[in-house]
Amino acid sequence: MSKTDQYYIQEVLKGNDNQFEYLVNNHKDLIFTLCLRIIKDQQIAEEAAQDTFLKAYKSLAKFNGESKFSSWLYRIAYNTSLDKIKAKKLTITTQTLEDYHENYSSEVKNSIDILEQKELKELVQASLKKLNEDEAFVLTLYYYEELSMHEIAEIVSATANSVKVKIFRSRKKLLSIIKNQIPQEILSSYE
Amino acid sequence: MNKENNMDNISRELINAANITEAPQGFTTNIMSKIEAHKTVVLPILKPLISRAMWLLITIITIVTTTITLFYNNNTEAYFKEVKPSYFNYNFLESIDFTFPSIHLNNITMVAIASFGIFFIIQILMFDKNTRANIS
Repeated sequence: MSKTDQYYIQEVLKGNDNQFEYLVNNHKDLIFTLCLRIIKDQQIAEEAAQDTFLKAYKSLAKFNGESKFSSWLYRIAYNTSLDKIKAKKLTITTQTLEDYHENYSSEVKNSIDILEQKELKELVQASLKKLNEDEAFVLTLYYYEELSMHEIAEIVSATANSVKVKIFRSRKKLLSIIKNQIPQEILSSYE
Repeated sequence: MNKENNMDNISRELINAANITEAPQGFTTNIMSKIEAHKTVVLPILKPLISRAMWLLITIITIVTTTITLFYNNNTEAYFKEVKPSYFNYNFLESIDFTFPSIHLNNITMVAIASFGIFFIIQILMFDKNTRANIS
């Protein structure tokens, strides 16, 4: 746990509730992003992210510090987001992994090099929306937050092995989706 | 293995390119106001159904009745005769039988009464616990 989180947690537990604001500000963007990657809807993801922090506030005394505070928050965010999907009866339209070829990664690599940063960001964000509820979630934790498979397994209540399989399949799927979204003229320029 | 590393690298590059989405404006303020609202929820004030004075009265009546029953059972008539005001009709008081009838209960009834008493106390304790839980 980082020193700053620890300090603010202790302050909140002492009754200085305003200090919780710092914890929210430290983690809100990633928590919102994770909720959005599971739920795929901006408004409901915001609700889920807010519920995550409220739940964390109410059970802060139960946080024993064995794991990182951020990991504890991710776990709450994951469960809250899945609960929202159930409660709102949301149907997440996703794509199945059908036609992945080994050369996709090099094709995508070559193509994204010529895309503007903004274009690439939009392309990847749109592609992440086509992944299942937890696929984009585990990819974000693994590649962006650089958590180990074991840490992710604890967050999603699964085994490290099943997380490994999920990451492997999810990135194949992501590359396949991105490859299909890259304009043909860009792809053909490298063929 | 090389293909695996290649896929790993490109995936990392893509996820980092997507970056994270900033939380909407007013996100923190909303949470803090919800926390504030949570703190200032007005707790319902519990008022006992039976007031302290009434409990005192019930206790006194119970003690007096029990004492009379236990200690003055055989002499009740004489006791009331002594406190009888002069304007009371003596014959009227004489006609009242102050002795309490002796009650004989079999074992099953005794167990039933005792069980009822125990469960009644448990129910009160549970009710109290549930009420506290609902408030917190």
